[in-house]
Amino acid sequence: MFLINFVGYVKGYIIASIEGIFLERFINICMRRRIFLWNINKVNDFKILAKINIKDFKRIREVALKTKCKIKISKRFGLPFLLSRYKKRKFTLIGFFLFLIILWYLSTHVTGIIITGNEVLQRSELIHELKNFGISKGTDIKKINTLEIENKIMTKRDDIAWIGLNIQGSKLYLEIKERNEIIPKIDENVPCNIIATKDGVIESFEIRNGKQIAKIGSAVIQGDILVSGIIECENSTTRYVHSFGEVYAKTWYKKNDNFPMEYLEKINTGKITKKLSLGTPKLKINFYTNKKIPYTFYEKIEEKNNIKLLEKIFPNFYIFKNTFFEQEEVLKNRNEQETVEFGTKIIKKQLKEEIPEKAKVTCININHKNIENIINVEVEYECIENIAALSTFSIE
Amino acid sequence: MFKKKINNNEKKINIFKEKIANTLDMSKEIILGTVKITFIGNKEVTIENYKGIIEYTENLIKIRALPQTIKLCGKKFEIKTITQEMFYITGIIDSLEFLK
Repeated sequence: MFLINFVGYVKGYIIASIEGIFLERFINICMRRRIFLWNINKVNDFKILAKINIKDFKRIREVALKTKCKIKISKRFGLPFLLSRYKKRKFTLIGFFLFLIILWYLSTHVTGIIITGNEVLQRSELIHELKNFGISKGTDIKKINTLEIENKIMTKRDDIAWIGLNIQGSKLYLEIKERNEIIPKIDENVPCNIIATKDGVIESFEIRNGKQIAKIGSAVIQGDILVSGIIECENSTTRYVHSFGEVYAKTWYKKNDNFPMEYLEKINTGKITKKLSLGTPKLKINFYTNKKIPYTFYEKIEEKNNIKLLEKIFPNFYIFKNTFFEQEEVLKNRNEQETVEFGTKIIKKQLKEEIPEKAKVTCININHKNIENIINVEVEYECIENIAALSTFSIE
Repeated sequence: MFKKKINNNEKKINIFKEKIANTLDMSKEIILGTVKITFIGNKEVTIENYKGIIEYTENLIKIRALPQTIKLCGKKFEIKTITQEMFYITGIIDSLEFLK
C-alpha cells in the first residue's frame, strides 16, 4: 500500500468524485480497460470518491461519457502539481539550483586551511608557501596530491623538520614541526663583545673566543662588558674578533609579601547554576541578569566554545558557558608557621615564572617577620645561569 | 434438452480438470477458473480471479465470480485496489455468502 501511495505521489494523483447511477458499471469498465483506481469510498448512493493517476484521468472521461457519470476533481496530490506551482516562481527555482551549486562547490573545494604547530614561522608565510604549490582556498580537493606536496615543501624548506598535510572534509590541516635550532643573530664574521644580561656575581667562564675582562668572583651589573672582542697585542696591531662563549654567574631573585594571620576562606557549598552568554570576549550578550544568580558570594568560571560553522567568518565569536559556584566566607585563624608556609608557597609560584628554565637553583632562603599579626614573608632564590649576550661595537 | 447436455459436458470437463490439478499439484483456481478468496481476520478480503462488481455500497458488496456470485455483508467497506486480477477490500466483514 505504501509503495502504491509513494509511486502515486511521484507521478501525481487526483481524488475524483464520481456521481452517477451506474457506478458499479463505471468501476467494472475501468477495471477492464486497466485504469487503475484505488481507495474507492462510497459517500452516498450516487457518489463515490476514488484516487486516479494523472495519466489515466483523460481516459476516464470516455468511460464517464459511456456510463453517464459526472466527474469532478476534489483534490490534487503529488509532485507534478507541486512543480507546476513552482514554474511561475522562477526565483525559487534559481535559488534551488544556486543552493546545489554552492553545496557542490563547498564540498569539493578547499574552504579553510588550518595550521598547527608553528611557533616561529608566520601563518601567512606558510599559506604563501602552499600557494606556490597551487594550494589555496578554492582549489579542487581531488587534484591535491598531499604526499607529493609534503615532499616538495620538506625539500625546499630547511627550517621545517616534519610536515603533515591532511584533508578532512573540505578543510586542509597542515601540521608542522619546526627545527629547534638557535639561529645566531649576529653573523660569525662580525666582531662583537659579550655583555651581561643580568646583575650577578661571576662564577665561571667558558670562552671560545675573545679576551676576558671581568674576573671570577666579581660583581657585574647589567650591560657590563664581560668578554671583549678587541685583542690588543704589543707586537702586532689590534685584532677584532667575534667573541662568543658562556658566562655563568650567581643571580638572585627576591620577593616579599604580607600575609595576615586572620583570613577569610571561601568554601564551595556545592550549589551550581549555569548560564549562557554570546559574543566576543570584549562584548558579551548575557542571556541572564545579575539578579538571576541567587548567591551573594560566588566564583565564576567561564568556558568559551567556538561556534563551529561560523568559525571562519567570525573568529572572535564564542558561546560562553558560565558556571557559578556558590561560596561561603569563613573567618579563620592560623599560627605563624602555617602562615609562613602558606606565604612561601604563593611566592615560590610567582618566582618560578620569573626564573628562566635553564637556570640552576642552588639555594633557597626564607625569612619572615611578625608585625602586629601580619607576617612579612621573604623568599630568595640563588641561581647559577648563563648571563652572556652578544653585542656589536663600532671599530674606530 | 440441449442446455442440459452442455451442462453435463461442462461438469465432466470440470471434474477432469480437477483431477489433473490434483495429480499435478497445480493451483486449482487457474485451471478451473474459479475465485480464490483470502481473509485476513474479519477486516481484509482479497478476491482473485473474479469477473466484475455487481453492486457496491458501504454495507454490501456483490461480486460476479465463476461458480456463484459472492455477497459480502459488513460495515465501512472500502475498495483499496481494483485490478483485473485482484480485488482488495477493507472494512468490517460480517458474512460471506454464495448466491444461487
